[in-house]
Amino acid sequence: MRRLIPLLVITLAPGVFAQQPGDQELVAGSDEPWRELPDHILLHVERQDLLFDLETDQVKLEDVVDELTAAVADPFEEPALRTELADRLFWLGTEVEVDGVTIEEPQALGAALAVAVADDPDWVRGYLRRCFAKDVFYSCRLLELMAVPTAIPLFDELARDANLDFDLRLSAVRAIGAAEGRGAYDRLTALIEDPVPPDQLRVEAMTALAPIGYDEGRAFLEGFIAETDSSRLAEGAAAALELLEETASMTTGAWIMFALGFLLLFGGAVFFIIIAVRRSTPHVFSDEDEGEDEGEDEGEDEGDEQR
Amino acid sequence: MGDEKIELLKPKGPAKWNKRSAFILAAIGSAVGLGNVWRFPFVCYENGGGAFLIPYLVAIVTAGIPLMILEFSLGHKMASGAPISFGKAHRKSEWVGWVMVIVGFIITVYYAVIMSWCFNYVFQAVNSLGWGDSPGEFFNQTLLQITDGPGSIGGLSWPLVIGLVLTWGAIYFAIRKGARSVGKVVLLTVPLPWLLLVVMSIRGATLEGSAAGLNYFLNPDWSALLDPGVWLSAYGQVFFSFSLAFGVMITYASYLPRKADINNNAVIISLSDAATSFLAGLTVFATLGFLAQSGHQSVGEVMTAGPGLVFAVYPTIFNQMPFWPGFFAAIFFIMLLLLGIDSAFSLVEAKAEAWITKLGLRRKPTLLVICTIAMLMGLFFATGSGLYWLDIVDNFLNKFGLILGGLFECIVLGWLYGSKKLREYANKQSEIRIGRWWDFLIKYFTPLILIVTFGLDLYRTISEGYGGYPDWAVFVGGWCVVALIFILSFLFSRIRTRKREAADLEGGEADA
Repeated sequence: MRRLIPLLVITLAPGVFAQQPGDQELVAGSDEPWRELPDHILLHVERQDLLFDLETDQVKLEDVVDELTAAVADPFEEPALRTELADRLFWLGTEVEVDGVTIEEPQALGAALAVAVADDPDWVRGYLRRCFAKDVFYSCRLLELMAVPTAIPLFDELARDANLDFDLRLSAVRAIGAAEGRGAYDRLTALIEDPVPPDQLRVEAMTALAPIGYDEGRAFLEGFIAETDSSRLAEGAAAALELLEETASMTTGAWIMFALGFLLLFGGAVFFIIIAVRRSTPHVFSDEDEGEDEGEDEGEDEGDEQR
Repeated sequence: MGDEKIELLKPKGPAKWNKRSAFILAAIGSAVGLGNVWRFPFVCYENGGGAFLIPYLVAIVTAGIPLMILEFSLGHKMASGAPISFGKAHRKSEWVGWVMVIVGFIITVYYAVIMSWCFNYVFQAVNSLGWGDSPGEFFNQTLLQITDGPGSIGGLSWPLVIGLVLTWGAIYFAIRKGARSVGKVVLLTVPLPWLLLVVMSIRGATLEGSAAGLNYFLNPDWSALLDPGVWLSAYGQVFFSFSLAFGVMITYASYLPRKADINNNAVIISLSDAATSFLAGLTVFATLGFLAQSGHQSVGEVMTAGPGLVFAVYPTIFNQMPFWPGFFAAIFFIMLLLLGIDSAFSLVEAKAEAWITKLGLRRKPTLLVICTIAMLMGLFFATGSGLYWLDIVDNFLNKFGLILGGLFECIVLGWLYGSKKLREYANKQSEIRIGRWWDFLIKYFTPLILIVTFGLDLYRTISEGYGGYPDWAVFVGGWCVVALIFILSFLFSRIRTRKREAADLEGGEADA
């Protein structure tokens, strides 16, 4: 029963604390939305000061990550200032290990954009284009770090954009899968069925579909294999089906651990109960009344001796 | 007049377990609680999935069972509740026993509130899944009426108050005659939730997507075994799950007849608790697999720990369940209620027995007073800010009160009293024998694990705070509560026992 509550507030309470932008009176289409909110005027000034401090090296970037993240995620902030501040976060990489290789990725910016995209997808769209021009690899990581359901339409748009670098389009597809949910499933199946995108992109969509497809995804992929004329797409779908099988039945490793846990814990308990039954009188399931305390109170006597 | 006084003060010996099975069931009931359902599966998943079973089993053998044997031996040998037993083991150590029972008592105060949540959910389950389409919102807004922080107390949630009264009524009923009534109650409250858990696991396994969930739970990640943090988590899980350092096992063992097994009982109870956790893990993950597949999500995405799992995620699952969702929802929350109630009344029993033995009080009135005080204290946790305070207090009691209680227990019994004496005593009584390795585990190994755990937790709490709460709230609900426990423990241990007063009186009259 211990440690009952950790993660509870994180799990349940955010909805209570979250301040919805829709709750505020914001004049739609205003160029300077932060002017509409008195509190934000002050915040805006503080953020301008922060930018100045960063430019003049009066503060370290690492020390103001939270403030920068909040500013970038804030839909009421002036877009130009958001862009300036987001640029600062772009190169702030966090080291992670992927397949045994250590790489850097813009986690703080990814988290900020994942929040921002819910309320201001237009600014995020524009800003991502700016990032794409800076560094493709970093931008690929950025897209995958932004994987939230609200960003799915934007990812879909990027995946279908023939003018975009192909690696970025592939990352957008992976990001749709990583965002998960019914929306992701529908977008991925639509991409797979769409004859316009290149085959490699459609195969990537199949791979992204596998972990979230389940029975419905399996039926879809099987139907796709039956219908498609492209051997490459059929192979991709077959590979995705193999991946999908991991969600459909227990793996060998899982079965082994199930058997081990069952044998050692349940078997162990039964084994010692059998010892109790065979060696003791009365045994575990005996109804025999052992009655009240027999003999002298040894414990108390010894305890008194201790005193 | 003098003789009459002595007669009044002489406490009657507490009732003994009438069957060995009653003791085993009561101890299992105490150990098995909500944590088995909402903590173990998550810890397992976070620490290497199926591979976690290896360190978990090692932790059971090297810490869980040895500590349980330690507490059973002490309680049985001294034939008293935790404080008096520690006092008998070492004259100046009674306070260690009081730390344990006070920690247990405070936990019961808010644990009863969680039971009250369960009562309300049972009612909602039979009331056509009354939590509606947004179980999380129902839990937060409708039931808890949660405020925006610990500083904003808010009003009482009346459904919780009613649930609280029912819970304390049930606790009083269960322990009113000590081992005699507990022995009867556990015949229902231990096997029944097990049966319901089996029903739920079968239902879970037959839901679509269950295999995906079970893969998340059981697929081994062997590299996790090289991570020391995983091993510490295993020891933490065992320590928190086995109802150790609460004084409960000491009290329950004191109700055993003189010729009673100790070692084998400890093994059976420990393995039964672990097996329950394992079964709960299978049930939880199979059901989460269903939720994941219906929403086209990965299992990791829908997995959560703590009350969030049972009061938000599970109701969502019941909303989507194809057959008899109300029936299975009712089964689930009744199961939780029964799992929790054994743990709750065992903690109250440990506290009550400590006072009854210490002051030679009458059982029923004492119980009534303790239950009433605890219920009134629990009202604070039934307010709009109760959840925040519950979270803070629970975190500090587990991290510091309990860990320190366990550490002092090992020091007092392993070093000051002598683990050898307890080992020899346990072996004399038991069907299976333990060797000198047990002394090593009690004197060196377990204290080392507890010191490392305590040190890490202390460092994290001081450097990072807790849960994003304001410092004053962490100070009041955390540090002050822990400090208060130790102060009260020392004060209680200084109270002269009525038994000794009676002995003094007797001695005085004889002299006269």
